[in-house]
Amino acid sequence: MSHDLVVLLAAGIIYLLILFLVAYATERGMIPEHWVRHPVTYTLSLGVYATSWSYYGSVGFAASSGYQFLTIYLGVTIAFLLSPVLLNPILRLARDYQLTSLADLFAFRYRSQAAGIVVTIFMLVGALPYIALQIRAVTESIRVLTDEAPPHILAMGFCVTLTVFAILFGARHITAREKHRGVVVAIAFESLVKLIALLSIGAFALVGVFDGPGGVMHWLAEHPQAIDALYEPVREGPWYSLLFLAFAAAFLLPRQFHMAFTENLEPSTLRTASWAFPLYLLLLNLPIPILLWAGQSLQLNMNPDYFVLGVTLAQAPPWMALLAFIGGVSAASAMVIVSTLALSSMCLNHLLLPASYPDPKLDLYRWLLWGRRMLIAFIIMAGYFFYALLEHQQSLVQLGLISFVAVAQFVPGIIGLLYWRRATRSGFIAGLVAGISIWSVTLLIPLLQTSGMVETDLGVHAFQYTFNMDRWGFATFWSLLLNGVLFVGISLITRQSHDERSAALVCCAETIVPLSGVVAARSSREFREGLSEIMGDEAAEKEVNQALQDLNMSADEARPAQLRQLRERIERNLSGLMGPQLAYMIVNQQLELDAQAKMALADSMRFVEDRLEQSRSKLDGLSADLDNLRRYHRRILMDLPVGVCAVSPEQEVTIWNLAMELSSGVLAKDVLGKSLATLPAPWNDLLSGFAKASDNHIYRIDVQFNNRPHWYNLHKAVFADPNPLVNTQSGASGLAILLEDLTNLENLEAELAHSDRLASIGRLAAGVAHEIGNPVTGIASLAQNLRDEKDPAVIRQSVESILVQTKRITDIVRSLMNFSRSDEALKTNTAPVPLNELLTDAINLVYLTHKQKPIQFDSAQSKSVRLKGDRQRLAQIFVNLLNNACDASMNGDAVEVMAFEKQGSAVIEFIDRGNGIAAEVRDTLFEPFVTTKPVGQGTGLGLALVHQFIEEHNGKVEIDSQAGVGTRVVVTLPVA
Amino acid sequence: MPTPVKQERRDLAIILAGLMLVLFASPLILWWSNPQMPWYMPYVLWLLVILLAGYLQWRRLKHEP
Repeated sequence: MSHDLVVLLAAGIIYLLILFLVAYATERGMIPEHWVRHPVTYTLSLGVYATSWSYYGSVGFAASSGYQFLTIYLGVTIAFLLSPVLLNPILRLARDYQLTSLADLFAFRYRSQAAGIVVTIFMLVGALPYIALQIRAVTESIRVLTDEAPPHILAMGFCVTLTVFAILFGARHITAREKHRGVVVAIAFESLVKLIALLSIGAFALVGVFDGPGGVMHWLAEHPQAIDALYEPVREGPWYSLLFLAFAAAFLLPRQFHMAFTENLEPSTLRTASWAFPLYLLLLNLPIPILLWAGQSLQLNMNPDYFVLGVTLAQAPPWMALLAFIGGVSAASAMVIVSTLALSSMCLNHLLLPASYPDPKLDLYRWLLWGRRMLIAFIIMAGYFFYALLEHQQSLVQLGLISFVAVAQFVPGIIGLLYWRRATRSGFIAGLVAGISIWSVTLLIPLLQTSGMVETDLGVHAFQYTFNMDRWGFATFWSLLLNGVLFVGISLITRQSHDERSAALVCCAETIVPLSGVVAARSSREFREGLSEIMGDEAAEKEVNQALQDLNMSADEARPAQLRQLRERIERNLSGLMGPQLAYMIVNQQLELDAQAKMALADSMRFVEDRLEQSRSKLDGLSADLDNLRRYHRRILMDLPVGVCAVSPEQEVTIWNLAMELSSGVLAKDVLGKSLATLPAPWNDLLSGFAKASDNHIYRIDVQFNNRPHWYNLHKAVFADPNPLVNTQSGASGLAILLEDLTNLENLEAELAHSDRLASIGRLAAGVAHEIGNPVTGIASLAQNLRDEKDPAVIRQSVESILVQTKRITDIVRSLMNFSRSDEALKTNTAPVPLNELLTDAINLVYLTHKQKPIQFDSAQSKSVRLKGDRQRLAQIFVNLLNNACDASMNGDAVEVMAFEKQGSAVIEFIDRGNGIAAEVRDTLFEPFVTTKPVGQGTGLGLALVHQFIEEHNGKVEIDSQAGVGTRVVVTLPVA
Repeated sequence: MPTPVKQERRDLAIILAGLMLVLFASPLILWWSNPQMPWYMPYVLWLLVILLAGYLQWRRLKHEP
């Protein structure tokens, strides 16, 4: 039974129209977004791997080599199961750096345009036989179904249709960031069609030819050699070579790279595809043995490559043959479209653009778009001519495997790219050229020879027989051996450039390499001007705006670190537009780094921290450990209850923690990266002055701020330049400043002092009241006498007496007032105070307090000594010391007070003959709430305040005590 | 403090690929390619590895935050 050519053509055209419709509907948003991004869609789009070789050729391969045909899918399964270690790193690089093809990836890693060119040419040469194979499969299928040779115009028409599709839906956007969703869904649709077609034909063969599984078992029982024919080649054939070739092809074939990485819409879908894609391949291959046996059972007189069609021709209804034909068209068209898109991108970036970069006056985007479209047409036509020239004796599998061995030559390069930092571009190119040469000699030239295009016989077969190796094993082994040896050897003896080293770091370790250098352009406007010289005004404007938008950055941005980021973003975006190497060259040339300038440490730190925040989920292993450690240390630093301010060697603030924000009221975001001198008052003078000062510590500095006094301790430490974050001048060093806020402590102490004073006043009040009572009684008596007194002399004497008593009262009250006056009233009173006045007042007050306990005060004071300081606090020092001396003394004891000047200081000694102080409490005497008095008689604050006030006055206090003998307290204070 | 989820994913990937190599790239192929074996034996082994990979991923996703 044969089919009408017109019917086949109509079916083919309708199918391709449906394909156009699917792509169009996707691009117009008619297909729900979650379907487009669904892992199943992505998995099916990867089905482009299964071409007409799989669809038709697998049966032929099974017929000639048994289960060896499974290696082509088992190898892919291994590669996809290894996704987390093999495919994910490539996907990360492709997405982050907008790399659209394998040539881009190698040009990026090895920083070499030559690498890109060699890879592109080799890919092109390796893929053309494969494209020719697809065209041939379609024309052969028509020949099988119609039983007549199809006209050449049919192949041409097929090629033109695919060209139109590829141009319409595969070259809509020129940048890698915009995915061709229409193509993705259309290819997924094609994969579904070929799976359904093959499973349907397999089911028909099972039921229609064998009458079910039992029939197959029965037929196999009658033909045991059929199973043996499948299994035997596994044990004897080039099983391992084919497994390895398929493993490499899974991600290195241009079409696989394109669908798996370039057009990947959602990175997480790769996780599902790692097992779902092998499942798809298994389902696709399940009917192959059945179809082979069905063909053998039906004794089809045709090439087993086309048993898929032959089985349907024998007994199936006509629509089954049409379905089989459509499945073949879908397999072939998907491969041609995607391979062409991938190759056109490579050719554009690595052949066309380096050879003829467009004039800046032209519209760059339009040029790139049309350049790519022309390349698509050129590549499909080249495939067509290759098809026309090829001798049709080659099997589908042979043509496919030639391409597989070609892409396997990239295995050493990709291993170097992902795992070996030391690999160099010279090693890569040398190895690849050697591999290509062996591939050409062992596979390509014999293929051309068979087709009659080359007549020379290089005698490869003789070598092959010498080593007792099959054709594929021989070509794979020797090409990869020489490739690998040269790659490793030359990499070891050649040096990497700085750029190559940076790229290697990015590719191998998933690390974040801090950007070094400062861009010479100081604004986004200067960026535009620089780029417009080579890209034209419109493209430069668009690219700079796009990069600003990507980074969420203002057009007014002028900070060096931000501009450095902008430059990197532009380079990445240009990489998606015209390839990594050209983008690198344009950015290096038009947006030069200022060789003289250096990036400030603050900027570098901020940049690295921003990048770490963005990339946290991508960090792994040691990088993740270090980042966690960094976060831990940073958290400690930020949450320290002490203000921390780090200053870079350029005097710019690099760290400003939360305590610093709270103490100063200045937010970190307003101060980071700025000079200390630009801080708001009073911090500018305080911190920049302290940074320059020779002292490393300042204690209890009083700062007026927010209309209130604040007290701080300041400490600083100098640290060395923390290279390699930034290249600073040698010898420059940074500072870490610690700010202890004592304001609360100071206020607390003031309150304690006030409480202590109130307590003292309370104690004094009784004595004072008693002391005032006597003169008041005297005055009252005198006043009574005066009422009736007429003698002027007596009256005068009485008045004099009243005045004397009144003065006595006034003195007592003044002493009390002096003691109890508030801090604020005396805050600015730092005038010299006569020491004898202070001591007299203090003695009077204490005398009154201890009147019930007669204590004798022996005072020897120098009248000329004057102290400078807070009168009230000085008075409190003396009152507290005298109170302690009196408390320790017994009735009738004497307390000596001696004051004199010695070497520019006033020395005041308080000596009592009391019980003395026990040795065990002497060391803690100045600590708050330490007292030797009975409970309820002392607060434990007296000596603590004495010590604090003396320290504040830059004085010192010493206590010399002996139990049972007495105590001598020596206070030394600076004189005015 | 490594990222355990990512590390586990990598470990499992290597184990599964290793299992594939043991089944399909080791002398074990002499066992299943014996003519006495049913014709679908390689498919069964292949399917088992795929199902194991799918099950492990399902289990991981279930436990991942």
